[in-house]
Amino acid sequence: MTTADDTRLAMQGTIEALASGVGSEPVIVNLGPQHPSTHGVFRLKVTLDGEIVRDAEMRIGYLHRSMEKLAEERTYTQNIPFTDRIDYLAAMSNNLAYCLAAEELLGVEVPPRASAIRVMFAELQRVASHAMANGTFINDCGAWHTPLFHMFRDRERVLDMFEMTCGARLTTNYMRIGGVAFDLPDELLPALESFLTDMPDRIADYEALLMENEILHARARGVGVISPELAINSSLSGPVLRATGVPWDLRKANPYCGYENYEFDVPVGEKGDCFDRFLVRMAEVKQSLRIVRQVIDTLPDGPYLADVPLHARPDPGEVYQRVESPRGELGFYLVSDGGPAPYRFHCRPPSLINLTALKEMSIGGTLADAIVTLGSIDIVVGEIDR
Amino acid sequence: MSDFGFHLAFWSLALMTLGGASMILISRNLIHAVIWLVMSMLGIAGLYLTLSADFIAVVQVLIYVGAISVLMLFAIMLTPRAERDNSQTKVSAPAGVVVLLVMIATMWVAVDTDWGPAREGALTEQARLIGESLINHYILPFEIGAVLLTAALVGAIALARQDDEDVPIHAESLQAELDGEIEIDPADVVDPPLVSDASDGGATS
Amino acid sequence: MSTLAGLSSVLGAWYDFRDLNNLQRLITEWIAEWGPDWMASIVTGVLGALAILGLIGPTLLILIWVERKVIARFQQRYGPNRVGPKGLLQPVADAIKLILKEQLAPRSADKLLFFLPPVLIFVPGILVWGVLPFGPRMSVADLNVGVLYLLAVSGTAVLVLFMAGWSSNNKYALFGAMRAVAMSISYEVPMVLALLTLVVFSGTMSVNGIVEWQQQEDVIFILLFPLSAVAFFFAASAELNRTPADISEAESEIVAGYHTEYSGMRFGLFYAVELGNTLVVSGFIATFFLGGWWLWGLDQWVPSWIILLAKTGAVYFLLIWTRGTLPRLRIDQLMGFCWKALVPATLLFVVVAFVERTLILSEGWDTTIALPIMAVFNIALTLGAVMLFARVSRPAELRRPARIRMAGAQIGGLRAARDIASRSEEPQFQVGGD
Repeated sequence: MTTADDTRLAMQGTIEALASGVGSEPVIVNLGPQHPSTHGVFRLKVTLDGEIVRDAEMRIGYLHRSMEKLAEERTYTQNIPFTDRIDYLAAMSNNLAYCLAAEELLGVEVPPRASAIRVMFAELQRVASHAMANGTFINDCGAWHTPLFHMFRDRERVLDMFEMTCGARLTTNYMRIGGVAFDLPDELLPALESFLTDMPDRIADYEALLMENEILHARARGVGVISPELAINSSLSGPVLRATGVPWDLRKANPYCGYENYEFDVPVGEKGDCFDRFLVRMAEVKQSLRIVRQVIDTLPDGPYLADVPLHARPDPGEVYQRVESPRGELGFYLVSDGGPAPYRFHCRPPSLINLTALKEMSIGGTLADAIVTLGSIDIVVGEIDR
Repeated sequence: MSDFGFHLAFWSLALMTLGGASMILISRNLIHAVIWLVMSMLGIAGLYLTLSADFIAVVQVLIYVGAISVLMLFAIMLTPRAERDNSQTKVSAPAGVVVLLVMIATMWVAVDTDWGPAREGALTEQARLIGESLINHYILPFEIGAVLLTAALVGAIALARQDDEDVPIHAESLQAELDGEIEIDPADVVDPPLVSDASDGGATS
Repeated sequence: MSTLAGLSSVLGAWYDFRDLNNLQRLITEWIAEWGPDWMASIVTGVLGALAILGLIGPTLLILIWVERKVIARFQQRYGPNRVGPKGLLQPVADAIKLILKEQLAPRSADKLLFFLPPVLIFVPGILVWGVLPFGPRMSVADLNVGVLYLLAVSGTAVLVLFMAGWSSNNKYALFGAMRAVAMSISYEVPMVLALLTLVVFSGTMSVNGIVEWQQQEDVIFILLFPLSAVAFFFAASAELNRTPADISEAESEIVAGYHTEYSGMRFGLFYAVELGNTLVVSGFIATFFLGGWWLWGLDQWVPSWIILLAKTGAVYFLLIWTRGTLPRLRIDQLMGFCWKALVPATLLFVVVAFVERTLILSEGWDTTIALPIMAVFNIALTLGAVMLFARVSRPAELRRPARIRMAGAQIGGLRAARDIASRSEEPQFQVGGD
C-alpha cells in the first residue's frame, strides 16, 4: 500500500470517528467459563461499547455430565443420586421432584408421614438455597463476602440438620420412591426448634442491614428489568417470575405432597428488577419457615416409606411431574417401556429456562449490571448442563 | 550541596530528558512514546529541582506526568486500532519542517538569553510570589487563560454529550427500548388460568 | 512537678523517643566532627528513608493479618489462625508462597511494559511517605509545597496502573486500567479541592505546617470542614481501589482488573503497595483532618509518632469497615457522584474557607470566638448540603419504595398479577423510597 493510501485511510477513519461523535469500537469480552461471578463454568459472551452491553450470548455445556443418558441405564431407585447432582444447591427438591414422578409412574401411595417430612425438607432446602442465592447476589453487587458469610450461617444450620437425618450435607440422596430413606432422628426436632426460634431475628438482622442500604438499592433497582408478559412468554418461573408481579407458584397452583393443607402466602414483586427478586426470596424464606412450623405441629405418625421393590418395573407409559424448586418450576419427564430403567429421563431445569431471559435483561445496561442480573437469576450450572 | 553532586544530578537529569525525548522519536509504538515522554518530563521536573524551583517541579509532575500524559493515553485508546502505530504518512514531511523551525526558534532564544546563575537555596515563598504576580502583574493573561479553559471545557462537554436516545443506560429507557423491539400484545401472552378465585379463600387443586 | 523535673534531664537526650530529631541531631553533630557537611545530610536522609522502609515492611505484614482478622470478624469467621501464634505468621507464609510461585507472562504481552509496573508502582508508594510528619520536624522532607507534592506523586501511580493493564494484552486488565485511570483523574479533583480548603484556611502548603496550625488554633480540621474531610476520605478510598469504589479491580466483573495477568510475587508487589498506600492515606487523613501528631497536649507526654499511628490506625479501621460492609457502586454512579456531588460541594467549601479566612485576616475576628462559630456554621452547611444532595440527586426509581405484596388466594398469570397490582390496601412489605 502506498503512503497516500495510508494517509487517505487514516483521514477517513478520523472523519468517520468525528462524524459519529465520540465513539469507540465494540469489544467482545468473554465472561467465563472461568470467571468469579459466573457461579460455575458458564460463559457469557458480551459485546461491549465502552461499558455498555450491546449484545450478550450465553454459551453453556461446560459442565455437561450426560445425566439424562446415564439415567436410562439405571433402575428407578438408582437414579435418585443423579438428581442430587443436577441442582447441587437444592438436592432435596430434586429428589422430591424425581420421586414424585417415579411414584406416579409406578402408582405408589406415599404414607402421610413421608409426605410431611418431604415438605419439611423441601422447605428447609429452600431456606438454604435462598440464603446462598441472596448472599452471592450481594457478592455480585460487590460486597466483600460479608452478607454471604452471614447467610451461610443459616445455610450451615440447615445442612447440619440434613446431616443428622441422612448423613450427607449437599448431595443428600434422602428421598426414596414411596417415602424417605430414614425416619427423623431424635436430635432433629430440638435443632429444628431452635433454628425456627432464631431465624426471625436473623431475618430481621438482614432486613436492617441490607434492605435500606442505599448502594444496594442503587445497584439493584431498575436493573435487569423484565416485563411480566415477556417473563411468561419466556416460561420463566420461580422468584424471577414472581418478582415481575405474576403470582405463579406450583405449591399453590398444582399442589403436591399435601401443600394444600399448609397455610402460606406467595410473595410477589412489582417491577421485576433485581432488587425485587432479592426481596421475593427474602419473603419466601419467611413463608418457608411458616410451612416448616406447621409441619412440625401436625407431623403425623406412621410409616415413613411405602413398600416398593428396588427393581420396580412400571407399566409402559409416560409422566411429567413438577415441583416448585427454589429456582422455579422443576419438572421430571419419565417414559417407561416396562423395563426396570426409564426409557427416557428428562429434566426441566428452572435455571436453564430462567437464564434464557438474561439477554433481554442485560442489553443496554452496563457490564456491572449484567453481572448483577446474572447473580439475581440465581443459576446453578450443574442444573443448566446436567 | 557540593559542586560534584550538583553536576552529577544535572548531567544525569539532562541525559534522562534528552534520552527520553529521542526515544519518543525512535519508538514506533505510540504507547511506548508516551511512556518515554513521561520519562522526559520527569527529567525536566528534576532539572527544576536543581534550580531550587520546587513548586514548579512539583507542578510539572502533577500536570505533565499525572494529567497530560494520561490524557494522551486516553486519546490513543480512543483512536481506532489501525491508526495507533506511528506510521509514515504524507503529513510527516511538513510536520518535520514545522518541528525543525520550532526547534531552531527555541534554541535561538536559549542561546540569546542571558541566563543568570541559579540562586542558592530554596525560594521558600515561591507559591506566594507566583500567586501574587499572577493576580497583580499578569492578571489579564491569567483571566484570558481562565476564560479560554472554561470555553474549552464547555466545548468538550458539548462534543462529548450524546443524545438521549443514543445510549440507554438506565433501566427505564432500556425498558422502553425493549418494549419497542419486542412487541408483546397482552392478548398473545399464553396466560395460565386463575387457579382459584378470591372468593374461594384458599388454594385448591 | 517532681516528675517533670525528673523528665527534664531526659528532654533532648538521644533516648528521648518522643522526638527522634534528637537522634538525628546527634548523628549530624557526630559526623560534622570528622566529615564534610553534605555527608551528614546524606547519612541522615538515608537513615530516615531506611527507618520508613523498616516501618512499612513489618507494618504491612501485620496489617495484612489485621485486615484479614477484622474482616473475618465482620463475617463471623475466625480468620487466619493456623500459622504461628494466632495466625500471625500467615502473611509471612503467604509471602513465601508468592515468591516461590511461577512468574507467568502472557506470550502476547508487551514484555518491557509488563515487567516494569510491579517495580515502578513502588516508587510513588514509597515517595509519598516522605512528607508525612511523624512529629514536629519529623518528616523525611518537610517540603513547603508538601500538599502539592503528595498530589503530584500519588497522581503518577495511575500511569503505572495503565502500563500494567495495557501491556497485559488482556481485556479484563485493559478494562481495569481504563477504569482506574478514569477514576483517578476524576477523584483527583475533589481531593485537590478538599486539600485546597485546608491550604487556604491555614495559609500553608506544608503538611507539617497544617498540623502546626491545628495545634496553634487548638482545633482539628474535621470539625471546621467536615465535608472536605468526608470528600477526601471517599476520594482517597476511590483512588485506593477499595470498596465501595473498587471498580478497577472489581472481582465479580473484571476478575482482578489491571493485575489479572500478574502472578507470584509480581502480584504480591501490587498487593503490598496497595496496602501500603492504604496505610499512608490513613496517615494523611489523620494528619490533615485529625490533627496528626498533635492531641491537645498529650503529645508532650506520649511520643508524637505514637499518636499519629493511633489516629492512622483508627482511620485504617474505618477503611476496613467500609470494605467489609458496603457493596460496590457502578462506574457511572461513581463518576456521577464525583462530578455532580463531591466537586461542587468541595468547591463550595473552598469559597467558604476563603470568606472565613478573610474574616479572620482582614476583619480581625478573634479566632478563639470565630473558630467555634465557623465550625458550627460549617457543620450545619455540610448537613444541609448533604441533605439537599440526597433529595435532589436521588434517581426517580429509588424514590418509590420497593414493594412486596402477598398473592393471597390469587394464583395465576397476568390477570392475577393485575388483580394484585390494583389492590388498594397497603402492601405487605416495603423498603426504601423517600
